[in-house]
Parts: sequence; structure tokens; C-alpha cells
Amino acid sequence: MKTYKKSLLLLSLATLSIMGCKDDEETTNPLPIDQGELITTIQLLMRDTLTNVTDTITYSDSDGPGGNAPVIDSILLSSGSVYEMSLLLLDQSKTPFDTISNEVEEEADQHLFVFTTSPATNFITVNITDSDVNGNPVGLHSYVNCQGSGTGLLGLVLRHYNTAADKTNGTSSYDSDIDVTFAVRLQ
Amino acid sequence: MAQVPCIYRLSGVILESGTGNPLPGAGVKLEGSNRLVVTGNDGKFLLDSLCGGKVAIRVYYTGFAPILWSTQLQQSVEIILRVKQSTTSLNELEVVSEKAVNIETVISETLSREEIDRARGRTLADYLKQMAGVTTLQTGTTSLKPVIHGMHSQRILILNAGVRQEGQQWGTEHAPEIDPFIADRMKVIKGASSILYGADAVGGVVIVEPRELPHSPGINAEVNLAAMSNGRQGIASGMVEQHLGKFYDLCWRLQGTAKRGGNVSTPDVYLDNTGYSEYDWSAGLGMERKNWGTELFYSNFKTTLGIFTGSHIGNLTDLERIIESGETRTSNDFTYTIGNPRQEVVHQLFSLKSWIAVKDVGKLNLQYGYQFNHRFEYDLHKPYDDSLAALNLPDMELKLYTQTLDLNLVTNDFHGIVATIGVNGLVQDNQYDGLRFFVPNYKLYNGGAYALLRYGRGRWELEAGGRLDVRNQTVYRNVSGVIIATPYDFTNPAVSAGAVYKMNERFRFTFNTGTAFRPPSINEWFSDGLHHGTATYETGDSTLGVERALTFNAGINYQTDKMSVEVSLYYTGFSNYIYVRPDQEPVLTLSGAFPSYSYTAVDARFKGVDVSFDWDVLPRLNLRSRNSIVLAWNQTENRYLELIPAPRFDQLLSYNFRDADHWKNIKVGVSVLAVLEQQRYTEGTDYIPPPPAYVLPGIECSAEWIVKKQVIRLGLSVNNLLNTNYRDYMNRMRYYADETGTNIIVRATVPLNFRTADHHHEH
Repeated sequence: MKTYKKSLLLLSLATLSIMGCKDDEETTNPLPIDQGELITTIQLLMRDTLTNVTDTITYSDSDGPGGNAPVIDSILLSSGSVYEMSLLLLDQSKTPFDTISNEVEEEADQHLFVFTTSPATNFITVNITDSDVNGNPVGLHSYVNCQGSGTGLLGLVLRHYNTAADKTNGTSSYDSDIDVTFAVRLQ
Repeated sequence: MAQVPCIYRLSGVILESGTGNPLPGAGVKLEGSNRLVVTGNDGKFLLDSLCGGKVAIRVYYTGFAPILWSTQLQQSVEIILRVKQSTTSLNELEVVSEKAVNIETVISETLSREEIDRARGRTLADYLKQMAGVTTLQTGTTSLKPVIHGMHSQRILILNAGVRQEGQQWGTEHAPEIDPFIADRMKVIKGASSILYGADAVGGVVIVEPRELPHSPGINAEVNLAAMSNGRQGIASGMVEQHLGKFYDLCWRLQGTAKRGGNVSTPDVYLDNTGYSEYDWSAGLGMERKNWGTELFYSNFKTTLGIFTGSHIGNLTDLERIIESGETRTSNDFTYTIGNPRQEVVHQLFSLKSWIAVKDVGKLNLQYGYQFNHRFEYDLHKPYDDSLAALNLPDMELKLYTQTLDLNLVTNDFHGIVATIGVNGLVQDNQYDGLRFFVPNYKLYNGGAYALLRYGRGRWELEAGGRLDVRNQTVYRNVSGVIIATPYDFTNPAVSAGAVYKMNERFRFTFNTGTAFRPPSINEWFSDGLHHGTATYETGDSTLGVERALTFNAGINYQTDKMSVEVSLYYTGFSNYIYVRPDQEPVLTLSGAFPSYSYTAVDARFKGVDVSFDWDVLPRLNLRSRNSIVLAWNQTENRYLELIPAPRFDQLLSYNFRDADHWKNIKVGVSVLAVLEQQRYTEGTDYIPPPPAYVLPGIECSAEWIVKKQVIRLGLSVNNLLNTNYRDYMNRMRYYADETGTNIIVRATVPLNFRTADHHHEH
């Protein structure tokens, strides 16, 4: 019986020492958080179809959510013009930059850009020109028609649908990957 | 007989008068039943699962006149019998001491066998919410946490097989990783209990105990089966244990549980991705002798929980659109498949526990515990990048390694005084990895020492205790490639005092008061990230200090043959109560605006009342009632505290039919659960006001079916009988969907007994 007790004691000591030897380097030296994939930047590439003048409007939040506030350009457009607009989504936290809009294009059947303008009339209208494999609009490419003058807002939401069928059926999407607003001046 | 919980133990030892040696082989028979136990080599016997009320035993020993001894059982009792040899007449046995064990000055409740059976197949929190003052905090249908007197998460300590459960308990959507089928005993201490258990036990303690390894030779087994209609859930659990015989006194046990459920439904629709699976197993090995015992225990809990996809939203605008539309995102079909978002958790526990009886001093207990909690959380959407998506990385991975060591001495009764003196130590490593930051790594050392004195005399039981904790915690963060270590040191004292006054056989009064403390948890200091389920951005405050509480509890207990009533009142005043408060400005991100919440400390108070009673309205008709009201107030900002359970009234009226051929304990009952609207709500502190009150009728039936001496315990429950649409304030999914509709549950428990010596386990 004595030996049994002794062996139990040894066993418990062994357990303590095995557990105690766990490498704690991993705790005291955390790796930097790989932010995975971020959309840090949206660029609106605008081409005035009348003058062929191009402009790039940028919304940039290089450190992702939290931290520093995003930097947002405002948009200046000429009344009476029609602009060709292409969207570029970038992950600038990576080197080299990752172009997320290419991935959106690949999964276009689950994505939709929704544009809102205010004021709603006699200002700007956005007409989507591209479509996905099911013939539904995407919004990476569009025309912007400008009427009237003054200041207003252009809102841009990227809806991410669970399935392509949800997008086709028009099931409500409550999952916005992007939701940004630009100030617009029309003159 | 009033339906009082059958949880008491009558244990004792029979000694030889002259030598004081224990007497093996004496028979102890429970009167009015066929339960007979025989004392072991140590002269000890044990009758467990006894109901309250009058209990009588008859003790036999060859050559002695049997004696009859009885008592009014209101708690577990330990007795000492001595053999009295007489030269003139027949030798006699006599009871020389009767001592109540476990009279506590804390307010507590233990689930009865029947209550445990009723919750079979459900989560731990579902078991516990049958008690007065205990509710649940839910995230969807799969993740439930117990709430005691309005407090939850890091303010509740769970002791699992004697080891403090260490998961990521700060997370409101992190349910405790425990298989309730392991438990034989579930007890909740309501109110702070810091002396024995240390920090975190500010709101209360949940004690989950596996059943003791068998005390007599033979093989036992138990099979549990359950099925639930909502979610088409199936649950199977089995256990087998063996005592290898008196010579070795060695016993072992193997136990396992499998659970699977698919999408649950509200009265109207299936909720997409609400399935779950859980596979658990445990093993025990033990040996017990007269003066020492030791036990090894290992358990492995593994679960995958689907999270309702409709609750994953992009930003605040999305949430507002959902609330406005009142629409529930649905799936057209039932499925068992679990997609994203989901949680996967593996919790392993290893424990080594030993005790030694030190002559003339007491019992020395030592327990070492090792736990590894490994949690993965997956978001709804995979990365856009195909090569990244193919890796299928979790958005969060949390690893928590915890080692605990507890050493304590419970002294023998010395002129009515019993002392418990102990120390405990804890070493913890937290490691975080993921695609977005949430909490940092840390290393934690905690040492505590405590003493609790109990003095019992006559009608009084008095208790006083003190504790000192020293904690060192270092948080490690990688900020742009530089490791920043932030050390924290805490030294915290705590004291408590309590009393029990037994006025007479009917009335008992309990009072206790104490201080409690809790150092901030890691998320309160350092969380910094998005919560997709609630569309919030949470920011911690690394300067937060210790939360302190002063608590008062008072209870009145009234017990007769027909009725058992318990009323308890409590008050807890907090200084530095840490909670998460909405900020003025939302956080603007490229994916839209998110309401910003930051952790802050305020003064707060909690008060409330729990009323429970069991009443035999008619000889066979019993009313079981559990009611609780919590009132919580933020004193610094003069407003109500958020997310406090609404008043809750839970009633069960059951009729006990006469035993028939092959059928025993046939009970048919109707239950009514009423939960009021939370009126104590400050306008504008939530996206939507608390949901309206609801009343849910249900059915509870149970019976024992005897097939050739084999007992099969059967149960049938119907929850939400009328398929009512309702939402609960304590469920974070209330923004997105109704609660589940009607659920029909059938259960069977088959205890198998291959015992050789005695036959006392039908209970």
C-alpha cells in the first residue's frame, strides 16, 4: 500500500511538471494580428464622356475599423455632363495592394451596389451598366447623369447576398460589406 | 408528503465501544422501504437521495438488539453509533452523536432528481433556470448562460467536478462548456460567495458535481435517451461504472453523450442555421480507503453551434432596416447542416483529487485541475480572395490554458466549531489569434488563502470567514511589431459573516453578509473590435480597477408535511461596477456606421426577492412555484441597468396518480410560465424597447415503468403548448426573430444495476 501511495504522489508530481512545462512563448510573444482581408479603400474612377477628363475620388480607411478616422474626398461634377464611373475596391493594408473589386466581380452573382442620391430629383442619377451571369445588375460600372446644380450626397452600399438565388429573388439583404457616403457638388 | 427535494444524505459510522474501531458488516435499513446498506470496512454507511421529512432507520448487528432511530430530515445528517456491550442484558447499540452537515448560512438551492430528469437533454442553463432567481441570457437558440439575481458571465463562478470552470466566460454568447449528463448534483449559491471560491463569485456560484464513484462492488450503468420535436433533436447519453471489489476498493466510470439538432422553428418559420452538435465523454478512476481516497477525472466537451444567419448584419443601418421591416430571415427547409456563422468549442478538463483523514484533526483535501478551452468563431462570409477563403480560417481563435491547485483542511467538530482553512492557486494563459483583433494575450497568476469558521449550538449556526487574494496579470499585445506588456497587480481582502436560526421544526431563518471583489476581465480592459451579431464596436478601458461589492442576503424557510416555502431577499451594492455603455458618437467605418460601446465603471445596486414553494394542495395534487424579481439601478447615471431579467413567475401543478401494475410515480402536470415586460428600462438605451410580457402554458408528465424489476423512468414535456409568438428581453436575438414554437420532448432513463452486495439505487 505504501508503494501505491508513493506512486500516486509521483504521478501527481509528474502531472504538475508536465503541465507546468507548457511553452508559454506563444503567450508572451503574440504575433501581429493579420487583419485578414480588409477593404481599406474605395476609388470612384470618373470619366466625363463629353470632355474625356478623368478624376479619381477616394474613400480611405487604411487602418480598418476603429483607430484613425477615414479620409473621404468630395466629388465635384459638371452639370449637364454624363460620367462613366468604375469602382475600384482595394486592400491597402497588404503589400502589394489587393484588388478586392476583382473578387467582387468573380462573385458578382451574390453582390449588388446600391446607389442613393440626395436630393432625389434634378441632381444626379446613377445607371448601372454591368450585369452578372444571371443578368442582374452589379454596379462596378455605371453612368452618372448630372442635372441641375448645388450640393448633395451620393451613397454607396455593397449588399452581400447569402446565395445567388437570394439576389435573383430579391430577398432582402441585411448584410452590407460597404456603406459609405460622399459629398457631391454639382456646378 | 410534501414534494421536497430528495437530496439529503444520512451517513454515519458504527464504532466498537471499547477500542473505537469501526464495525464492518452492520446492516442499516431505511424504514418503509427495502433499502438496506451494510457498513464497509471503515464502519461507514450512506443512504443518499433521501427526501426531507421524517426518516427512520433500523440498525442490525449480529448478537445485538436492533435499534430504531429517527429524525426530521431538513438537511444531510451524519450520525455516530456505538456498540454498547452489556453483561447483564442483551448487548445494545446506541446513537451517541447526531450532527447536521451542510447547514449553510448562504442562500442556495439544489435541483431534485425529478427536476434534473425534467431538463434532461437540454443545456446546463436550462437545468438551472428551474430555480427561483435563476434565469438565462441567450444568444439565439443554442447559446444559453445562467443568470443569478440578474448577474451573469464573469460574475458567476461555475465549479465543475470541484474545479473552477475557465472558458471565455466574459463573452455573452459563450455558453458554459459542460455536459449536464455528467452531473448528479446541481446546486446554486445565490449571492456573493467569495470566501471559499474567490474572485468572480460576485453574483453566485453554480456547483456541478458528477455522481460519486460506486461505494460497493458491482457494475452499474445508465442509459438516457431524449428526442425533441423542435429542431428534430436527438440526444443519447450512457454511463457504465464498476467497483472492483472490497479488496482493491478501486472503481472506474466511462460516460459519453451525443446530441444533434437541426434548424429550430418559431411558430411561423424555420430559423436558418440554428442547428448544433455536441459530443462529450468523460472517464473517472478512483480508490477509497478508510483514511484516504483519490480520484482521477477527465472530461472532453466538443460542440459546434450554428448561429442564426439572420442575426449577422453589416452595420447599424442594416439593423434598423430589420427592426423596421419586422421580417425574419428564413430558410425554406429544415436541415441539420451547420454553416457559417458558427462557433466550435472543445473544452478538456483533467482533475486529480485526493483526501486524507488526519487523526484528531480533520480531513485534508487536495485537488489539481488542468483545463484547455479552445474556441473558434467563424463569420458569415468567407474572404473575397479565393485562396484565403479556401483556408477556411476562423475569424477568431481563442485558447485558454488553466491550471488550478486547491488545498484545504476541514477540521473535525471541536466543541461545536468546524474550521475550513485553505489555499488555492491558479495559472492561466490566454492566447488569441484571428482575422480581426478582439482581445489580447495574457498570463495570469492568482494565489488565495482563506479561513471559514462555523460554530453550531442549539438553534444557532454561526459562520464567519476571511480571504486574501494576490493576483498578477500581464497583458501582451503586438502593436505594429512591438510587444507591449502591461502588468497589473491586485491584492484583495474579503470578509463574510452569516447565521442560521432554527426557530422550530417549521421555521428557519438565514442571514449572511459579505464583501466581494472582481478584477476586470480581459474584454473589459482591452476589447477593441466589431461584434457582428449585435452590430456594435466595443472598446475596453485599460485603466479600469477592481469591482467591489457589499452584499446582504436574508431567507425564511418554512416547512411542514404539506408545504415547503422559501422566501429570500437580497441587496448588493457595487462600487466600480463595470459595464458596457453606448457612446455618443458611432464609429464610422467603410462598412458603415456602428454604434460604439465602451467599458466604464459606475456605482450600482441590485436588489430583489425570490419566492419558491411546494404545496400539497390536495393529497395527490402538488403546486410547485418559483418566482423572482430583480431590481437594478445605475446610481452614477441615475438610470436603470440594461439587460436585467424581467419579473418571472413559473408554476407547475401536478397530479400524482395511484401506482398501477408496473407503473409507479405517475405524474401529470400543467405548467404556466409568466414573464412580465421589463418596465425598468431607460428610453433610448437600446435599439428597441423590451418586448411585451408573455405567458406560456406547458405540460410535464413523468412515470416509472417497471419491467421485470427493471425501472425505466419516462418523461414527456410540451413547451410553448399554444405555439405562442413571443420574444424575450434576455435573448439578444430578439431584434431578429421570435422565440421557438412548440417543442415536444420525450425522455427515457434506464438505470441498470448489476450489484452484488446491496440493492439500494432505485431512486
